[in-house]
Amino acid sequence: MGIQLTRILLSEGQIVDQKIESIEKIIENVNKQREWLHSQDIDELLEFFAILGKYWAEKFSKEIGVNSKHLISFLSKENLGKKLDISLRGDRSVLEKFIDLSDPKLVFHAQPRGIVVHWIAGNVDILGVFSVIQAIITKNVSIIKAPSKYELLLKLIESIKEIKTEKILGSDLIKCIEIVYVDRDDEKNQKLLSKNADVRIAWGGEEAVKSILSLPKSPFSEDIIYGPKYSYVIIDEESLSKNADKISQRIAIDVSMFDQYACSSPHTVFVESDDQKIIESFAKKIAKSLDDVNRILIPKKNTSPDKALEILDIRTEYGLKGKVISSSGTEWTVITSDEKNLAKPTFSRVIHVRKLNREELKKENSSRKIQTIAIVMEQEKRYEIIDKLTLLAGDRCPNVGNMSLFDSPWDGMFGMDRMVRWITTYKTQ
Amino acid sequence: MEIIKTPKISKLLDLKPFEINQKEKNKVFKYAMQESLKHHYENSIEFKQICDNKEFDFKGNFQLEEIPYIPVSIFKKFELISVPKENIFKTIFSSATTSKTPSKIFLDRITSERQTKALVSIITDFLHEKMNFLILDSKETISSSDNIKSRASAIRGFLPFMKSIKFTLNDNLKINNLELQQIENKNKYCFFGFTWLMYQIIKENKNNKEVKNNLSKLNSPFILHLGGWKKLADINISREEFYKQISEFFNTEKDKIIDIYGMTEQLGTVYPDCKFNNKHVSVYSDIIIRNPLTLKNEEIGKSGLIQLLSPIPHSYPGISILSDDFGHLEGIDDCPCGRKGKYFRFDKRSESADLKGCGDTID
Repeated sequence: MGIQLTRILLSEGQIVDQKIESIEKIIENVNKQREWLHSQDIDELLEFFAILGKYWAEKFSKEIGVNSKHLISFLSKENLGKKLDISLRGDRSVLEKFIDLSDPKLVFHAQPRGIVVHWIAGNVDILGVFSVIQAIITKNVSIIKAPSKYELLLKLIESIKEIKTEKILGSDLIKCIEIVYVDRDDEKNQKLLSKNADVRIAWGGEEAVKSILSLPKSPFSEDIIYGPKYSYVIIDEESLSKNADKISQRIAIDVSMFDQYACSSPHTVFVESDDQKIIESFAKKIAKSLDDVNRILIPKKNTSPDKALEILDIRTEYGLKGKVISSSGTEWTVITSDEKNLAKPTFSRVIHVRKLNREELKKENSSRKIQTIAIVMEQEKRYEIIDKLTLLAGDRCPNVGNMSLFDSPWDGMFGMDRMVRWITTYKTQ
Repeated sequence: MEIIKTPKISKLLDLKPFEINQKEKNKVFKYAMQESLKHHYENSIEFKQICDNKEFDFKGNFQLEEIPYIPVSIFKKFELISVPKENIFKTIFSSATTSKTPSKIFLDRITSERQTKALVSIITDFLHEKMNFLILDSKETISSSDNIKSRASAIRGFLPFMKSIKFTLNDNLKINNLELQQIENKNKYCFFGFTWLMYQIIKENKNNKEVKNNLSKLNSPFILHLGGWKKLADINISREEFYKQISEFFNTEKDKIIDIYGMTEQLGTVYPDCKFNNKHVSVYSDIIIRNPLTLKNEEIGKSGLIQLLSPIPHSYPGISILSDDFGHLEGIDDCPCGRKGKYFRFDKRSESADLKGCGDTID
C-alpha cells in the first residue's frame, strides 16, 4: 500500500475524502456541536441508537456478520440504558440534572468531558464503533482517527443520517462525529489530535498504543486504552463429558470472529484433565467446528501471504513436537502439545489446546495483558477459579462463544464513566 | 568411508543441467527424489514424522507436489540431521537477514560433493570458462573453520571457476585499492559478491576517482551477485537502478550481470538469471509455486511461495523446503535463451506479518 496522506473522510455529515494540511477545522466543527448534543434528551438518544443498531444489523449484515445479532441486543434501549445506568452510579438522568445519590450533603451531575478522539484498529473496527456510541451517549463529540482500511467504519457512521426519531435527526447527530485519516508519519496532525482530546481512546496493538501514548496531551485528558491484550479458555473434564460438542462449536466462533485479531480472541484452550486422550479428542472436535464455522458461519476472508507462511511454520514446528490438525489450506489450525503455558499468538485461526496446570497458569496470569478468560465448569467452581485468577490479571470472564461480544465494562473499565466529569453541589444553601 | 549406493541421484547428477525438457526430467527427477526420500525417511526422525503427519508414502506412486515440505524457519529451530553426527564435517549458518536466528545446515562429504558437482555444472553453463575472480569481500570472511557462514560457503563453492582469486575488501569491508591497482586489461575478470555489499561498495566509491580509474581498465567483466534483495528493497532501490549503477561502476554491460538465486538450505542447486532475466531451474532440482492460502500449485504467471525440491542433500533432510520467498513461474522449456526446464522470477521476500488488532501483544 502506498503512502496515504492525511485527509478528512467525513465532516459535517458529508463524505468528503479531502487531503488536508491541518485538522484544526475538524476540531472546530465538532466543538461547535457540543451544546447541541448536550441539549438532547438521554432517552431519546438511547431510542436513536436502538433504531440504528437494527438498521446496521439489517443493512450491513454481510459485513458485520455474526456480530449483527449482538449489535441489536447491545444497542437496544433497555440494554444500553441499563449499561449507562450502571456506569453512572445507577441513574442515567445524572447526565441531565443534579441527582441525589444518598450522600448526606451533595447532589451530583455528570457532564461530558468534551472531545473524545478514537484511534481505531483496522481489524476490529466494529469494536471501535462501540466506543464511539458510548461517547455520544454520554454527550461527548467524537473525532475518529480511522485505520487504513476504513470502508466499513465510514459506511456505518455515514448511515447515521438515515435514522431519525421523533426528536433527533440523524443528519444533526452525525455532525457530532468527524472522521479523519492521519498518516502515522504526520506528526503535526497526530499531535493536534492528541492535544485537543479530552478523552483519548486507543484501540490497537502494542506498537500503535505506545505510539499514541507518547503523543503530547492535556494534563486533564483521560486515557482509555483498549488493548493490547491476550485471552484464553479453561474447561474442566466434567464439562467436556457433558457438552464437548457445544463447547467446541462455541470456541470455534470465538476463534473465528475477528480472525483472532481482537484482544478478546482466545489463543489457548486449557483442558483440566490428566487424560491426554480426552484433550486430543476435544482438539479434534474443535477442528471440526472450526471447519464448519469457516464453511457456514464466518468464512475466512483472506490471509496475507506472510501470515500464511507463519502458519505453515508453526504447523511444521508443532508437527514435530506435538500434533496438528488443520485445513488443507491455511484457513484454520488446531495444535496439541506437551507445553503448558499460554501459547504465543499466531492469530489467523490458530488455536492451541493444552493441559491445564493451575500453578503454571497462576504464574503467567499475572500480567495486565490478560483480558478475557472464558471458563467452562460448574458455577461454584467457576466463581472460585475466577476469583483466584483475576486477583492479578484478567478483566472479563464471559461464557465461551461470547468472548468477543462487546460489553460494558470492557478491559476492566466502565468506559462511559471515564467519559464524564462529576459535578457536585450542596443540597441546601 | 561408508559406501552409499544412490544410483538414481548419481545418474541425475551426470546429466547436463538444462538440456532435457521438463517431461523427460520429471521421470528421472522423481526416481532420484524417491531414493533420497527413502534415505531421509529411514534416517531422520523429524522427516519421518513430517511424512507420517501428512500420510505421505514415498514408496507409492506419488506426484512431486505431494512431497511434504519443510518451511525454512524449521532449520532455525531444529537441528535436522540424517546421518551419524561423526559424518558431519562442516556446518553452514545462513545470513539470518529476516530473523535474528540463522539456519544451521549440517554437511557430510556426500552432500558436499553432490553440491559441488551440481554447482559446477550449472555455473559452467553460464560462465563457460575459468576467470580471474575479484571477490567483493574480505579474506577474513573465508577464514578456515568448521562452522561456516553462508557467505564464505558461497565463495568457496565458486573456487572451481577461479583462475585466480583476489579479495578486494579490507577486513572492515571497505574497498582495498591496492588490489584493484593490479587489474590488467588483458585478463578476463569476474566480480563476485553479495547483493547488498555490492550496492554498498558502489555507493561508497562511485565518486572515488582512484577506484574508478582502476576499474576503467576492466573490459566488460562478468558480475555475479547473490543473496537477498531485501536490504535494497527496503531503501527502494529497483533492479533497473541497481544494474545501471553496476554497469557504470564496473565498466560492463547489463547482460554480463548475473543474479544468482539460491538457498543456504539447498546449496549447490542455484538458479542464475539468463540474459532475459529469467532464473533457470536445472535438472538437479525443481520448484513448485504454492498459493499461500490454498497451498495448491500455482499456474504460470501467478505469484506464490517458492518450494524447492532437490535429492542432493544427504546429511540433512532439506530435500523439499518451503522458502519464505515469493516468485512466479515465467514458463517451461521455452525461454528464448534456449535452456530447457522451468524458469521463474523472484517477486519478494516475506516480511513479518503485520499485526494491527488489539490482540497484538509484543513480548
